[in-house]
Amino acid sequence: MSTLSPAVLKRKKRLSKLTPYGFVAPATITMLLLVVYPILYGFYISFFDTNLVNKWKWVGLTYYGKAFTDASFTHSLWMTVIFTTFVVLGHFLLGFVFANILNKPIRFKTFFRGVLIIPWLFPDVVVAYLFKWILNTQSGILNALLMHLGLIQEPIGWLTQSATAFPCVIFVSIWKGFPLVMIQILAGIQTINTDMYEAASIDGANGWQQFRYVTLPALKPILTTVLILDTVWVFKQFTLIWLTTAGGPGSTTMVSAVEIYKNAFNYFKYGYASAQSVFILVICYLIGVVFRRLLKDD
Amino acid sequence: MKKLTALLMALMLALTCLSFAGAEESKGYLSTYDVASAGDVTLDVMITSLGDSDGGPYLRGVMQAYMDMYPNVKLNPVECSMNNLYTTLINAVTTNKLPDIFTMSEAYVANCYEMEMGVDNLEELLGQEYISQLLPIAIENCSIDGKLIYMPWQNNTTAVVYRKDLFEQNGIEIPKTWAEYIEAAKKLTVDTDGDGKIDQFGAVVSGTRNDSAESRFQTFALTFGMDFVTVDNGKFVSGFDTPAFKQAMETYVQLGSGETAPAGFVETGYAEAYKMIAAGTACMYWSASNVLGGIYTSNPEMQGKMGSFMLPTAEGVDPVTSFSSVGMTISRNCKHPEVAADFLKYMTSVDNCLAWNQATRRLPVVKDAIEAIVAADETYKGFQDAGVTAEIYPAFAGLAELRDTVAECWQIIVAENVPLDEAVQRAISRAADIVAANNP
Amino acid sequence: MTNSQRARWGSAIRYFILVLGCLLVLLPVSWMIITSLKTMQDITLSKGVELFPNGPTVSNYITIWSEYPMLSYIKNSLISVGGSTIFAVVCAALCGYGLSRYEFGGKKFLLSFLLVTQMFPAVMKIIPYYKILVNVHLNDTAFGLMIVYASFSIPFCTWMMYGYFKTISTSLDEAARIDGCSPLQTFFKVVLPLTIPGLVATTIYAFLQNWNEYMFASVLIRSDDKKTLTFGISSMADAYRIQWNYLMSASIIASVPTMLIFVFLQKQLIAGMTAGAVKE
Repeated sequence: MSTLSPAVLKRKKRLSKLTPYGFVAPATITMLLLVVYPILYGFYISFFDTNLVNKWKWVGLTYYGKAFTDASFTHSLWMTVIFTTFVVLGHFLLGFVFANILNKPIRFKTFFRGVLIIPWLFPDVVVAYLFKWILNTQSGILNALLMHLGLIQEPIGWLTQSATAFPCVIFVSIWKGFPLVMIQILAGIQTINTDMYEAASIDGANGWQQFRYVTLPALKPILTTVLILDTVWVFKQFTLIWLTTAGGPGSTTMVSAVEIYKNAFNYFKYGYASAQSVFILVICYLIGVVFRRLLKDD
Repeated sequence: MKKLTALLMALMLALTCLSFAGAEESKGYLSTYDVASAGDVTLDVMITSLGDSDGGPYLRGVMQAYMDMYPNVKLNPVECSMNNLYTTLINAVTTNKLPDIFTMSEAYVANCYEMEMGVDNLEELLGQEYISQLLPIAIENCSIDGKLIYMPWQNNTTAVVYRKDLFEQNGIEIPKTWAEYIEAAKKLTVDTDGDGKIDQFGAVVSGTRNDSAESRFQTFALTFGMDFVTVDNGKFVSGFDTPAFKQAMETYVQLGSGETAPAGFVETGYAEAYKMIAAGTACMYWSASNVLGGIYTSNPEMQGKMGSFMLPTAEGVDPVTSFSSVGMTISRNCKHPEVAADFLKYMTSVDNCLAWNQATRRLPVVKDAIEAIVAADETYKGFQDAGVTAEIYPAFAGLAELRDTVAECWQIIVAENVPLDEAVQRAISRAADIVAANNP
Repeated sequence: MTNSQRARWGSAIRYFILVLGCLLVLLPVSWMIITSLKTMQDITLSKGVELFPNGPTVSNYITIWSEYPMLSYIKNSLISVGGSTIFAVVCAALCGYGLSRYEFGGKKFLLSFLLVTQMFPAVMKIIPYYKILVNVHLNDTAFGLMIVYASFSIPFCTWMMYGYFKTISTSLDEAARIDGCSPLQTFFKVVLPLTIPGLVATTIYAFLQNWNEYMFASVLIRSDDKKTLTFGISSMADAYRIQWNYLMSASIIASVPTMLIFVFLQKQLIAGMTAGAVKE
């Protein structure tokens, strides 16, 4: 080391300044090429009344103003917030419980873990159809089973009554998504050094205290990431709801993603749908900021 | 063998140049273009039925037969489900990549016209002689401002399909009014196996919110004398603000979620409904004739047990039903529109229409073919009768949204217990907004 | 309560929760398997809890191979999803490492940029993606789909890897640097091996997310022989007809590769940390 001349050191220093950019370049360039254009395009068409081909009528900020006063858009936003809250809570609750148990010395661990991961392996399309069918009022197995067991007399319209449709959709989304959170937490827990638990138990910490003071802080970076991303995904959830209830009955399960899709591809109001999308973008961004403030690590 | 056929074809085509009439008879369709000498032609054919398990294989067979007839033509089948059709088309049109032939329906025809997706001269390409073979109402349905936008193919006249055997057993008359329909439904709502639970319901009604149930309601509303939109002096007028709409909505909800219907109105779509008929759970449903295909595939034993009759009407309204047609158009990007038109004419020859009907139970719009089908199988009688009274809707770009309005209306009544009056009021004001937005 | 009693109760509760969870997962899945063993007629006509009016059949598993080009569906999925996963994970590992180890101008911005790109509703991205792919003549190709999928995975994977790298002490890097390793060597030889569980989890995630993707494939792919597995499966259900038996048997076949990958890689997942690593 001592043999290096000042010039070489200087060059090395300049090089090392560039090092981080080298690491982040491949990902950044790909994203710039592929994601920025779609978003800018969406932003652009939100100022037009357009069919995307030969009708481009400038409407300025009209659609943004309209979104503010549109009762169905505010309703769908509110439904989205409730939906997201319950689903993310469900994901984390189940994810934490199962990851913790699976991290303990238990028998048939591989089997249990294998089973619990299953929902994640099926495409959304299949999960949606599967549950739509299980929950069908007339020919669904759930009603048939409950009636067979004498638990209910009349078939229940699981997805056709406001009171049950929303909880059912939330359940299906939790069912589909919790394994991802579970696996991320499990992987995170396994990167925690076991020495720390030993030290904690020598200090007399019980299970909860170990969890609270060892597991949770160590998992914080990974949890923050999973929490933010899971929230964003659930916020945008489309396929599961679209295929099970399509936002219905009435507008009981009408979340923003479904509403935007209907506006764009059923009613051909691309401009308005884009303006709504920009709103969603801003809202998601704010959620991200709030989460990071709340969970600031260090 | 193939070579021999090709040789024969070539010979016939040579004759075609001399005399059209002779070729017509030998090829069984109205060809007016010399396809064989058009050079190498490749066409992408995107017809939604290609993905269906019944219509798909048949359609591929027709394409193959056409290619065998003209070895210089290559037809590429491109699958696309009806649900994805418009998304696919809008993507394709923004990049000038439309398939040469693609499915078009009344729901999108206004947009297709506005975006100039199709060729300019479809009428000319098909020829007056060909067009005169088709039902006039079908031509009207596929035209805007007197200009043919797409070629009609499927005949979606709405009529009621019913369990003829059960009607006969119970001595039930064909209902003429909705009151009689409800009476008939009540008689058929019974507990067949005596376990104390009703397992056969009189009538099933679709209540989903996916454009299919809504289009059924739109036809239903006609029988109450209510049009969704009418055109008055070049301006659209909403028909929601009428007593007829409220009456129709009330009856629809009663039929859909009352005692004579199986539970689950809001999640009963087309596919669920025909399965109930197939399973013997329900006895009546109104639809286009392809529902028979669904019923027979699900339960072959239903063949011979089904019949059809014209939609009943409300008291004092003349018999009426709706007509619409899903068909095909030729893309403005197509390099060989004459060949594309020739293939479409081949595809809809009388013989091919009959085979198509056998495969899917859909009725064609070719007059001679309909006659032949009804003569052979009286199950379609009701569809033919209804055809006389059929009306078409004006091309209206906000139709999908307007239809959504009625589904929202009955869903909030049934699922959220919103009072009828309030739900109807909401529908009226939403419809007014939609109509206003589509008026210049 | 003595300690051993408490431990026994604790483990009993644990097993109870696990079994309950497994039941919640397995009941719907078993219905899926049962359906895949039925004929379409039995599905339509059977009433109540009657499982197999005419006995179970494996014919669906045989028929779908001839009714649908399942092999090419699988091949296409493997190409586009496999390729995008490798590409995304490599980009993400590098990027995550750079973000966790260096302070540099634009770092904050990059982090939120990656996140924000995830927030724009996906349905509104369909048309622009199609336009991009058409412009570079990659529409209707597995390669085009691969690039699109990679762009879906990179943000999440980067954030995940960033999270994992942060749990590893920087003292390891310093030690390696003192030993004369270049930044890339430090990354590959010292830090990356320690994040294998995280890397595997991220890989599995990226693979599954795209393996199960349907909406974009259904728009960006047109030819029958270029469809991915989910796209192919979903064409067994549309507004007119749902082929439950095919849908379910194809779904089960579709999940075999993911199950295999999971079973194979979960050894890595549970391998845990390299013994003796310097920890905080």
